[in-house]
Amino acid sequence: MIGGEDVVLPTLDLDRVVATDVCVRAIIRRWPRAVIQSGTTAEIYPRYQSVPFGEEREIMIYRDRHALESWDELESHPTNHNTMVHLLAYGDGKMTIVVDDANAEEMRLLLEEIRRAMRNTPRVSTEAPDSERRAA
Amino acid sequence: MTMDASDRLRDLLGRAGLQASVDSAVEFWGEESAGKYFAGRADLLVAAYRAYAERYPTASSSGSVPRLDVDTLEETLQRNPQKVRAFLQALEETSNVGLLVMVWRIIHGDTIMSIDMRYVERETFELVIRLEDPATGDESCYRSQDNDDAVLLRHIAVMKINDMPIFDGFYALRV
Repeated sequence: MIGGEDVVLPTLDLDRVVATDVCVRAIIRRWPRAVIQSGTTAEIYPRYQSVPFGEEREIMIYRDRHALESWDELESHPTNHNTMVHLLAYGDGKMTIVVDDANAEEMRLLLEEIRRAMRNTPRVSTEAPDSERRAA
Repeated sequence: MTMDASDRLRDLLGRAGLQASVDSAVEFWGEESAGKYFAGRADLLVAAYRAYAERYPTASSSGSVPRLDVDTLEETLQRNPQKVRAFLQALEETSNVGLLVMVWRIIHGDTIMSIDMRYVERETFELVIRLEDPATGDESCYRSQDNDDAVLLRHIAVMKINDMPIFDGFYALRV
């Protein structure tokens, strides 16, 4: 996303992969028709279960197909503000969430729901699996 | 079930970041008994695979929710290690094949529609969980009357959407 507002949320002791998973699940519960897109390859994931969280460090989530088309055509534009969330997960301990306006009601609620979800997610092992150690 | 399957499961646990779980089983039971324990868990995984295939005959690695077997778990490990870790912990915690199918479905995005738990001290326990596939709207129901299975509820994240209650996802616990 070009422009927008960076909101950096602490993920406490959730690892990067789980924190991203939790964020996506929280967002698609609010936006049940959401479209998920890779932030690095632009691949569209047809369903939540298609997302390779172990490999993705950037994910864009559009409110619906119409929002995706609008962003494709106009990029950031007043008519599509607050219809897309850009997640950046480049390290354990924090998640950067880019939104148009963090004070807009829709985004404020969404960010609060993500915070709550991360706070209440069961904590995972601190022992990284082989695949993550190799990637590090 | 051969010991090969057991060794494969132990190897998978280690590669999923759950080696401490394997080590503690060996320390607790000794190598021979731990081997039998993991063979039993490998048998349970096969039973879960069969139950899943019977309930969801069209599931495939390219479809909506993939098959439930060791091959799929190994394939999933690279792309979604958090899902494999969570499922393997459930495999260690319950012997209820139906609940393992349920865990696999939640991990892959099914919505938890309701959880009913009834407990009366020294008398009765019943857990009933209903899921919905968000893609198709199909509902499924899973039950247990063994209160040991209540430990699975610890893996579920607690959320609110529009200030209304949501239980969602199934995550690995710290080992």
